[in-house]
Formats: sequence, structure tokens, C-alpha cells
Amino acid sequence: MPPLSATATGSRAALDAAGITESDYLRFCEYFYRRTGIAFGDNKRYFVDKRLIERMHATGHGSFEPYFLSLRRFDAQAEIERLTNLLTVNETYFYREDHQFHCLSASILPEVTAGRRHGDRVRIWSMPCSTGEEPYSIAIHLLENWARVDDFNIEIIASDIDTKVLRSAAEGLYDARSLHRLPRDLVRRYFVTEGADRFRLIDAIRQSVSFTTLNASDPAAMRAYAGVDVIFCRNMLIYFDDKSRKQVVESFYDSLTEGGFICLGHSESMSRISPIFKARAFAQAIVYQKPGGPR
Amino acid sequence: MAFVRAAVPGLAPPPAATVEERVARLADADPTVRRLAARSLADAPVAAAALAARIEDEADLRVREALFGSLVSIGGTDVAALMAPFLRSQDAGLRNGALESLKQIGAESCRAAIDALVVDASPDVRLLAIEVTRAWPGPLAEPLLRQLIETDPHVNVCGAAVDVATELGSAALLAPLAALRARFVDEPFLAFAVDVARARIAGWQQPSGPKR
Repeated sequence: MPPLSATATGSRAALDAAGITESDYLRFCEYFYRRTGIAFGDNKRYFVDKRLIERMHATGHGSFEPYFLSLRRFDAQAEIERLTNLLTVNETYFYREDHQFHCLSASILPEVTAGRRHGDRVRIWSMPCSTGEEPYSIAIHLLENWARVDDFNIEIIASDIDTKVLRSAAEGLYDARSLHRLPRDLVRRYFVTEGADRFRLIDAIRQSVSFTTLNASDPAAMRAYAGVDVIFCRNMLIYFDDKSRKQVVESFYDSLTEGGFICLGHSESMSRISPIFKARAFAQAIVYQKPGGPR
Repeated sequence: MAFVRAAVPGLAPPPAATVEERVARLADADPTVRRLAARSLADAPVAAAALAARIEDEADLRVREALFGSLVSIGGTDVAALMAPFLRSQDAGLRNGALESLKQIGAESCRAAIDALVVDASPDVRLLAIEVTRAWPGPLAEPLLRQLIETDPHVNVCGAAVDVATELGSAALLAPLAALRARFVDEPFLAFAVDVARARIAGWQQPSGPKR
């Protein structure tokens, strides 16, 4: 077994020497898929091996087999979370997976607002919102792309369990990496440069979003969120076990208006979680809908 | 301006109705009332029997899901015992709902119920019981898998046990799997499944077979 410093270099030779066989890799991928719904193909072998070895070293396991067995102990949840965090790309930026924002303006909102009157409320919920890129992207996208944006009172609620990221979100200060997907003209329109590599969102957008602290696994807290037309919940449920995942989507169901929509991350599928939502395949994206409401 | 600030939601008040009143609402004519009643009983273990009793008669999928969800939240051996009989149901939705719920309840809570089901007279019930163990920690599932691999007379039940063993098994199952292959020597699909399981468990490279 190579020392940690050797594996940290990430060389193929060091990874091979760690002794994760093809069979080990397949077993782990099968296990991880069943647990999270995330599937790794052969092309992810290096990525997965490197992170497995990092956790094997950190937990004092000299080889794959005892580490893999340890993941199935009763008290393994914390380690599974650490490994999952390493194996999921936990990053966010403006206009990430923006095909869903196009779906929102071109397909979802026209359907949701059909029959609503001028000045009626439209409530959109971003959860988890992390440092604010997603809810602010929704606001910018709607201003730029939805012709009826001024016809309704649009509320954007953004929630996260982490109070630190919520403080950062409310501040609205970002670096260039967070903005790399935004067209330059939108950066100029909605941000003010602060220093060499810092961009502050203009007040009008910052003040359009209400940030709240929320633990999605707390049904009592979730019950307070009602009358929501569209939920963006992307790349959160993959961190939950089946029981929690189901509990959260049951809460989402109760929070949504009849005919309301939920947008999940690209690797997530409601059909693996609950049968009570209807899959809707729009031209821009597949999303999920609470049955009922005007069509 | 298009955007308005939303009032930040606080905590919703706890249900005002008593447990008895909420249980009574499980039979309301309005499915929305029934669903809300079912959801509100998630923290009322005394309502577990009422929730389980309602499942079989409940035709609305959204309400049935809420009933299962609340039973899972309550959890424990009593709930597992209430749900286990649903694995015998002729209603596929009910069977699957019970199967998924038993998986979510966890090994410690449903172990006694599953111990009883893996020796059930019906191979269909035994097969579903094995599927529950797929969600268990390997060391807990393995004794049951071994018992079935060594003794169950039905080839499909053994096949299901081999499938779970492929995922969860340790080297302790290698010999029982080899014996199973010999016991059903005329069943090529089982031989193939056993070979895959043994290869995976032992870390051997498969000489042939489908590529993933």
C-alpha cells in the first residue's frame, strides 16, 4: 500500500498499487448506484479509485475489502456521507443546467399562470440554494426571457440548511468562476465589479430573493412552505437515503400547488423515489408535476 | 417590479386535531383530507395499526404513499409486523409499497418479520423477503442468504438469494454457493448466476459473460 503522499499525486501507478481490482470497482459502483442512483462507468475508474483510496487511508483501512465492508455497518452513515461528498461534484455557478431555466420560462410558467390574473402571486422555491447562484439565476433568467415577468408578483424563496452559505448568498459577492456561464452582457447588466476578480450582484436582484434556513429532513419545518408553484431541488436528494428521500418529496408534494412542478438534478429521477408525481417531458427538460390544477 | 419579497415561513403549527380525530379522517371522502391525516400521524406510534389497517382499502395512490410514509417514520418491529403480511397481497402496488417500506424501516426493526417470511410456504413471499435484505448491512443479511442458499428447494428463491449475495456477500458464501450450483446442476441460469456471484465475491475476473 503506498503512503498517502504517493496517492495524493494521483498517478495511475500509485492507484494501481493500491489494489482496487476491476471486480472491486464493479462491486462498489453497483453498491453506490443502489444507494444514490449515481452510476459510474468505466471512464470514471480513475476518479472513483482516487477518492476511494483517499477515504481508505483516512479511515485506516489498508485495502478495499475491509473498507467496503465497513460501509455496511450500522454506524457507517457519516463515512458514507464523506465518501458521497467526495464522489459528487458539489459545485454551483450561475446558469448551471440552464436548460431547466429555459423550461421554466418557455413551458412551466406559461402553464402554471394560465388562468391567473395580473398581479397574482407566482412562488418559486430553490432548495438547497447554497451560495445563491441558483435562485439569482432564476431571477435573471426570468427578467431576460419571460415576457410576462411583470404581470405577476413573483416570489423566489431560497433555502439551505447551512447558515454560512446563506450569509454568503445574501451578500451576493462572487468570483469569476461562478460567473463563467453567464454571457458578458448579463454580467455587465447585473453585477458591479469589486476589485480584480469580484463581482457584486446589483441590489434589485439581491432583494428579489428571500433566504431561509431549512432542514429538508424536518417535516414540521417543511410544512410551513405552502403554495409553491415551482421547486428547484437539484443534486440534493442524491445525498439522502431512500427513507429520507421519500420523506422529502412527500413534503414537497404538500408544499406544491395543484399542478405545480419540481425540477431535479440531471442524475436524479423521481420515478426512483415516489410514484405520486407525473413526469412531464417538455422540449427543454423532463420535470415532475403534482397532478391536478389547470392545464 | 416583477419580484416581491416572500414572507419568510416560520414553523407550521402542530396539528390541532387529536390523534383520534386524525385517525377518523383517514376514512374521509376527500382524498386530500385523508392524505393530510395520514401525513399528520407520522409521529403518532399509537396510530400505527390504524394506518396499516387503512392501506388495503385505500384506492388513492397519493394517500397510500402517505400511509406507507408515516408507517416508515414511526418504524420499529411492530410496524414491520403490520406491513409484512402485505407481501402476500394480490395487489402489486401494495406488495411493492410494503417491500420498499420494509427496506426503509431497516434491518433491526424488520429482522424478526423477515426471519418468519423466509420460511413461508409460498416461494413468492420468500422471494420478496429476500429482496428486503438487499437494503441490509451485509453481515446481517448473510446468515439469511446462506440459509436459503443451503436449504431452499425453489430455484427462483435461490436465484434471488444469489442475486443479493452477489452484492452483499463475503467469502463465507463461496462454499455454499458452490454447493448450490451442484444442487441445481440442471438449471443453467442459476449456474451462471452462481459463477458471477462467486467471481464478484472472490474478486476473480470473469472469463466470459456479458460486459457491463
